[in-house]
Amino acid sequence: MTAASLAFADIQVGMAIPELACRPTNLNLFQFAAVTWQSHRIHYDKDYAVEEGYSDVVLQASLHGAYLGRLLTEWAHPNGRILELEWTNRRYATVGETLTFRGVVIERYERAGQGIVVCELTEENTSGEVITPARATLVFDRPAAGAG
Amino acid sequence: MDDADVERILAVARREIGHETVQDLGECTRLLIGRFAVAINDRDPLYRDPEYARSLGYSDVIAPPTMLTSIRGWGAGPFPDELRTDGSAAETTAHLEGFRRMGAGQKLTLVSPVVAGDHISVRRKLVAAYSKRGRSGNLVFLESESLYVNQHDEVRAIHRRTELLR
Repeated sequence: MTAASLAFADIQVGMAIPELACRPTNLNLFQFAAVTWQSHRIHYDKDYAVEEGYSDVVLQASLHGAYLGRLLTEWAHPNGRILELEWTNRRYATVGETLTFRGVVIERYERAGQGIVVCELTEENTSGEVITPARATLVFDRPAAGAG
Repeated sequence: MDDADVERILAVARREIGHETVQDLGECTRLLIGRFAVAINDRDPLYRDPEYARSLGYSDVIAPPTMLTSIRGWGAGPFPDELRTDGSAAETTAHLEGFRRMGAGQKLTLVSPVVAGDHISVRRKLVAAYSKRGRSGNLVFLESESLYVNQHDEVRAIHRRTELLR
């Protein structure tokens, strides 16, 4: 695993983060609601969600953030970790939609012996609309792969 | 939500701004961390394998970055017949009852990773309240800031959250 790990030296401005695509199911939403103890009915009761004007059950706002976190950690762990993650839930998504998470490096610098990487991120729905714009700062404070 | 509702909510909110509440949330166990990782379909061994986590210098498995701030209920919570029609817990503040609420955006500052065994408490305060006129009527935005610390007073996360009422 370590041999394939991303190091700060490997990162350049403009570099794309490998995209993450997922199609959340009712099971995913149920498990997320259960573990976060969130009982809001729009997230598991389709009839109720329709009453509120949605076409199906709606992803939790935090689930979008959790997938953005995955996009970043699957790329940066274990040498890098997220320092800041900011997102706006611009549009909702419902179960069964294919969601695509992308990111690109927009800044890279060193600060106090640590590597700092700033990325712009998007989450798109099936129609290609950006539903969750986001921005993240990561810190790479572990030695490069193989060192130490 | 009419203009009088907006004014009423904002008037209460403005009085609350800056007042901090402290709440003891509980322990982040390996089980909680493991279940959260399953729920977001994340197979990173850092969340599941204590030996692997130790090999990277952590004392135990760590939590996915957004776990702490995703959890809405840390206790048992109300019984089903005590919930509102929409399934959410009743407002502790009556002036917000009856309006639809949804998350509008979040900013997380992850000061240090949450490690299994962390006992977390949170210091929360309202930091801003304002209204906008949307396509479907008035919208009220409430921004809160939560500081999450463990039993050793180590700050784990700062969470700024914007909630929309309509």
